[in-house]
Amino acid sequence: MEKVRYPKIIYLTILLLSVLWCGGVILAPVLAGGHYNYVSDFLYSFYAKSCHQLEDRSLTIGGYALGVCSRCTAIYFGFLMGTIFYPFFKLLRNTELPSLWIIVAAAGLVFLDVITDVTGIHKNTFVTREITGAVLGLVLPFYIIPGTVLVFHEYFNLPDKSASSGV
Amino acid sequence: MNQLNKLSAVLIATSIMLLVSLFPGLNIINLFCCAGIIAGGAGGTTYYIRASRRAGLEVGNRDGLMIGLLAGIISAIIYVIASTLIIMYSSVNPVEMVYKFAEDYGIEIPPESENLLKMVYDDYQRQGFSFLMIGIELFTRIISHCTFGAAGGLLTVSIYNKRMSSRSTDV
Repeated sequence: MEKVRYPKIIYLTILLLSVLWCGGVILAPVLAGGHYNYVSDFLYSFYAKSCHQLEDRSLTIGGYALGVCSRCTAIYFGFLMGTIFYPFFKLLRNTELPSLWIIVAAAGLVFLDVITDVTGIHKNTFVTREITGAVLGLVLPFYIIPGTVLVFHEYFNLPDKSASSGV
Repeated sequence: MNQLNKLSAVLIATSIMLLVSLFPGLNIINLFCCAGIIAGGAGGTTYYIRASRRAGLEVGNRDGLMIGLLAGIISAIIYVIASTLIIMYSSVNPVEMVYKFAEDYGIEIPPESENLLKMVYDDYQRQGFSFLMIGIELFTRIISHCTFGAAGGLLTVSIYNKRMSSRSTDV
């Protein structure tokens, strides 16, 4: 019974963390300009470590840009969606990763979108940035969740008999 | 399970994270979801996997996660110390740069932020650094470096073990 419990705890922790992460992205513009502006400043400063936050490349709420650019927003919200839908496709105790080609293809799409824009071959748009970002975000939980479950199996020396895809 | 010492791997991961975060130009990499930090975690873990393979030892997901986490914490602390020293010795008040940036891009600074900026500005003028900014920087850096560093380490081991298991089933 013990074994069944902590994949669920790991899943809920990852879900909670990604809800908090995505919540902060939305809260930054929502709290901007009001009484809680200092919270908004803190959130913008927090996300500045991982995003350029250029206004012309960001979605806005009430005239204020989200905490991160449109591509990062798509990746983070894609990750949240992927995490929410994960139990519908895999068992929580699953430790088997999907084919590596899926993550390679998803990362490749983002890379292609960036490279074609930088080289001037094709200027990317909000749509291409969001689609490619969301695809990468959606597939990531299918690698991160089984990987984290396996970490706990290793720490508590549980035999890895539960490696079933559950599809 | 026998394991190699992770010190070298953590140092390599930390060095990559710091190199990408501290050097102007290179730090642009981090603007894509902390790609430099993910690369640091992945780099250190790749070194560890290779060393373990040479020694005939197995590598678990926890090793990658641990290397990424430790390197994330160490690099965040060193980053904050280094950037604070750079600001102190360059005798530039970073708040002045914030005002200049806001002016150049026509951004209006709200009164609530203005008060905070004034406080931080006075700190920098008086002592060359601000405890508030160091605290905020350390907190945000530790969270982002640990999250993305651990993700880099974890994904590297997961992918490596997946490749190894698919190779063994092919044979």
